[in-house]
Amino acid sequence: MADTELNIFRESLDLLILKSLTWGPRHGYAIGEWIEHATGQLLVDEGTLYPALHRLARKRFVTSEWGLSANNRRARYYSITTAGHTLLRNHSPVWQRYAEGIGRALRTTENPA
Amino acid sequence: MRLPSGIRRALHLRLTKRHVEHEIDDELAFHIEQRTAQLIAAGAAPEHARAEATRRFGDRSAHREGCVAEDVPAFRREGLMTFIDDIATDARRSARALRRSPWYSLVAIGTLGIGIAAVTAIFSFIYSFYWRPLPFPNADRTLSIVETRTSGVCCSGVTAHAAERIAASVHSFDRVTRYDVAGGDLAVGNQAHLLSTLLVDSAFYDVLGLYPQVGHLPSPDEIRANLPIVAISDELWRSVFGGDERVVGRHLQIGNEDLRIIGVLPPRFGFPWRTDALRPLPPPNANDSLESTGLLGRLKPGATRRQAEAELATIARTMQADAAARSARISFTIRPEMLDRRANQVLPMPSLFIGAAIFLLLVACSNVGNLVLVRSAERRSEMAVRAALGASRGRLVAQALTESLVLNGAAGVVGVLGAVALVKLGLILLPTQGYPFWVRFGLDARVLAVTTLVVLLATMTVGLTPALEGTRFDLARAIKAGGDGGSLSSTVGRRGRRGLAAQLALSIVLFIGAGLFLQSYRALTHTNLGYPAEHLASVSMFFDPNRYAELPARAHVAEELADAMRRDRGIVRTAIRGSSANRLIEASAVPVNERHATGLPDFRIIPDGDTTRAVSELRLPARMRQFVVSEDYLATARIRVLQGRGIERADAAGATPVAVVSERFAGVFWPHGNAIGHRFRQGAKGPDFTVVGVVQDVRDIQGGHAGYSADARPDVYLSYRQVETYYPNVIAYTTSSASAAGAAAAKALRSIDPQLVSRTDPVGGLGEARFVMSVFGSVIGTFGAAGLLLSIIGLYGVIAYTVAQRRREIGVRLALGATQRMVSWEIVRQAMRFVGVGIAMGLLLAAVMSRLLLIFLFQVSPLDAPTYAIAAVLFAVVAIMGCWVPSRRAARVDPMLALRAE
Repeated sequence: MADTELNIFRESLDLLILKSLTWGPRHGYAIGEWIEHATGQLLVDEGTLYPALHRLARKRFVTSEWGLSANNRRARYYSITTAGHTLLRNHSPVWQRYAEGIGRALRTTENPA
Repeated sequence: MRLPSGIRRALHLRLTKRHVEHEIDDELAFHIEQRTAQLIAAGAAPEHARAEATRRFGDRSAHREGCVAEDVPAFRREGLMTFIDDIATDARRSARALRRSPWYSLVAIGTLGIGIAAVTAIFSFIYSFYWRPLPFPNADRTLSIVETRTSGVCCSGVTAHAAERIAASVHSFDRVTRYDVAGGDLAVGNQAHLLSTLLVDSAFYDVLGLYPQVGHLPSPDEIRANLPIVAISDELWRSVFGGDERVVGRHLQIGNEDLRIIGVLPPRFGFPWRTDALRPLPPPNANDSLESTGLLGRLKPGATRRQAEAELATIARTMQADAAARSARISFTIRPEMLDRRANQVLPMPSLFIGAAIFLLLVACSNVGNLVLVRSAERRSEMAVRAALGASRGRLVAQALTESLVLNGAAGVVGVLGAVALVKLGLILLPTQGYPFWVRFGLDARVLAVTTLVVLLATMTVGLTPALEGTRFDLARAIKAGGDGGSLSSTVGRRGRRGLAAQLALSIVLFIGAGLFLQSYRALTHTNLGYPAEHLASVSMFFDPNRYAELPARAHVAEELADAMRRDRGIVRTAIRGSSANRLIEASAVPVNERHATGLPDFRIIPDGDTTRAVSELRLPARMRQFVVSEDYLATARIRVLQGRGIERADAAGATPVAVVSERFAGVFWPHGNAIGHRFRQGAKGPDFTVVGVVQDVRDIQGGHAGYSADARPDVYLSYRQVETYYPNVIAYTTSSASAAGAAAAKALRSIDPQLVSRTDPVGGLGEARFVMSVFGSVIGTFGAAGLLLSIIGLYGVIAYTVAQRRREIGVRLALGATQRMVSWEIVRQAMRFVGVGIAMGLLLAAVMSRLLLIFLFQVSPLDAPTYAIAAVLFAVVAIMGCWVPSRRAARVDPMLALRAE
C-alpha cells in the first residue's frame, strides 16, 4: 500500500518536474516554487524534489549544469531533454485520465452494485 | 575552489565521489538559503525563517542520501566512460601529435618497425629449424647411434654386428630399431619421380609411434620374409591413387620391382627427412661385415643419455676385444635424432642472427627511448601546467603511455608487414630442398605472439621510463623555469651518452662483420680457380641399381646424353666425368682396391712399386680426387696440359692403363723431377697406372672449419675407357647458366630414358660459397647499416637536445666573444669523447666476435686490419657530421635572444 502510494506520488512528481522545465532551465528551488504555484499546494517535503531530480538526471530525462542564480549564487540548473519531452507527452494524457478517474470515483455518492 | 567544468573536461580532470557529494550538499544548501531568504522577504524573523526553511525541506540527510544513491552509480559508470573516452582522446591526441612532427614519428616508427621485423623474421626461421615441436610422439627420447672407427671408414650408422649387440645388451633402451634409406624411381605417365624409400624392421613403428592411416604396415613376419610389399606416403596416395581407400592390394612399380601396396602412412610422416614409401629392411648381408644401417634407440622412462653412453662404451670395448688386433678402435656416439643432420648445416649460426636481431631491436628501443625522452623534455611546461591544474601524475603517465602505444602500434604494423616480406624474401633466397621435411618456413602464430610480446615490452621500456622521468618534477620550478624543472637534462645526457656509446660499439661490430664478408666475396671473385668453373655444369643421373645394374649401360646413357646436349645452342662442349670405381674395365672382377683382411681398404698410393715412399690417401696435404674422364674432358673444362699429353681415345680397355696427374700430385710423389713415365698404384694389389701427362692444378672452393679455402688438390685423371665408374656425370661447358644446361639435360633425357631423373649443379663450389657469403654478408651488412643509421639518428637527437639545454650558456659565451666555430667545435669535442669510447669498444668486441664468422670467410683474417680501420674511420666521420650539424645550429644562436628568453 505504502509502495503504491509512493510510486503514484513519485510518477506524478516526475511529470510535474518535467512540466516545470518546459519553460526553460530552472534550479531546484524554482522548480519547487512552480509546483507549489501550479498545484496550489505545498510540497509535503521540499527536499523530496532533489532525489527525484537526480533520478531524472540519471535516466537522462533532464540534464544539469552549474550556473549563477539571480543573486549571483552558484546553483545547479536543470533542463529537460528530448527524452524528457517524449516522456511528458506520452504520460500526461494517462495521468489526466487517471486523475480524472480517481476524482470521479472519489466524488461519486451512489453505489452502482 | 572549483574550476569550470569546461576547463576540467579540457584538462581531463576526473571527478571523484567526494566531489559529487560536495556538489549535492551545495545544491541542497542553496535551496534552503533561497527559502530562508524568501521567508525573510515575506517578513519572518531571520532565525525563525531559517528553522522554517529547514523544516519545510524535510529530512535533509535522507534526501541527500537519495541524491547520492542516484548519482554515484551513474558517476561510476560515467567514470568508466570517461576513462575510455580519455584513452580515445589520448589516442587521437597522440596521433595528432605524431602527425605534427612527422620526422620524429617516421624515424621512431621506422626504427622500431625495423627492429620488430628483423626479430620476427629471424625468429620465424630459427623456430622452423630448431624449436618447432617434432611430429613424432617419442622424439625427445629417441636417440640415434653412430659407430665410429679410427680408420675413418665406418659408418653412417652401425654395422649389423654392433646393432645385434646393442639390441641384446643395452638396458637403457627399451627398444632398438634398424632402418635404412634407399632411392628408387617411380614412373607416373612419362614422368619419373625420384622416391625416397625407408626400409625398417618391426621395432620401428613402436619407437616412432607410427600407425598407418589405411591398411597395415609390414608385419614382423612379412619383414622376416622380405616380401615385395610397400606402404606408401599420404602424399603419394593422394597424388597417384587419388586417396582411394581401396588402394590396398594394388601394385606399384618402383624401379623394376613390382610391389604390393599394404597400407598408407599417416600424413606428413617422413623419416629421417622425407619418406615416399616404406618397405621391409632386408636381412644383413653376411658377406659384408662393414655394411651399416641406421640405428635408433628409445630410452626407457627414467633412463638417461649418460647411462646409455656408458653401456655403449662397454659394448665397444668387448667388440674390440673380440676383433682382437684386426680392427681399428671402435666407439659409439649418440645424438638426438631429428635435431641433427642438415638443420645445423643450413643455418649454422643461429646465435649470430638472433644476436644481431636482438641487438637491432635494443638499438631501436633505446633510440626511440631517447627520442621520447627528448620530446617529453620539450613538452615539460605543458605537463607542468596540466599537473598544476590538477591532472594526476597517473593521468599524465597514462597519456605518455598512450602516445608510445600509438607509436608502437604503428611500428608493430610496419614490423609485422616487414617480417612477412622478409620471410617471403627468405623463401626465395634459401634453398628449397635438402633439409628435414618438418622444416616449414612461414610466420608462425607462436612467433607472432612472441613478437607481440616484444612490442609490448618495447612499449613498456620506451614509453614508461620517459613518462615517469618526464612527470617527476618540482612543479613550482618547472613552471617558473618554463623548461627544465628536474633532473631530466642530466638523465638524458648521461643515459643517452652511455646508450649511444654502446649502440655505436655494436653497430661497428656488425659493420665489421659485413666488411669481412665483403672482403671474402671479393677475394672469392678474384681467385683464379685454374678453370672456368662458372661456365661448367655437372649433370648427374640417378641410376636405379636394378634397371642399370650393368655399368656399361650407364656409360652408354651418359654418352648419349653428352651427344644430345652438345646440340643445344648454349652448350659449347660436353664430356663425361665420374669418380673411380677402382676397377679396370674387362680386366678381372676383382676390385682394384681390394679390402684388407681386416676389412679396411688399402688407401696407400704407392709410387713406382716402392712401398717405402707410399703415402696414405688420407694423409695427403689436401684431399685427393680420382676422376674417370672421357678424352674431351680436359678440353671441356679448359684444364691446360703442362707436360706430356692428356687422356686420349686410344687409352681404351686392353691398352696400358694411363693417368694424367695434377701438378700438386706430381709434386708430392716426384718432387725432384719429371713425373712422366713414372707409375703408381693404389693399394698393394692395385694395377699400375703410368703417368702420361701433368696438368695444371684446379682449385675448388671448399668449406671447412677454418673457413672456405681454394687449395690446389692432388688430382688424378683416369681414362673412362679403362676404369669403371658407377656414376658417370656429364660435364657441360655452357655460355649461359647451369640451370639452362639443366633444362637442356632434362629435355635430352626424356628421349633417351624418360624414367631417368637428373640433377644439374654448378661445378667448383663457387656458387655455394658465393651464396653463403652474399646472403650472410648482406643480412649482416643490412643490420650493420641499419645500426649505423640508427646510431647517427640517436647521436643527432642527443646532441640537439643537450645543445638546446645549453642555449643560455652558449649565449653567454658568444656574448663574451667566443666565435661560432669555437662554440661548435667545443660541442663536437665533447661528443667525440663518448663516440671515441664507443668506437674503441666496438673494435675490441669485433676482434673477439669475428672469430664466429671464421667458417664463412675466404682468405680473409677475422682480424683483417683494413676492414677495422675503414669501419673506425667511417664511423668517426659520420659521427662528427652527426654532431656538427646540430652544433652549428646551436652556435648560430643570437646571444641577446638566448639571454632574454630567460
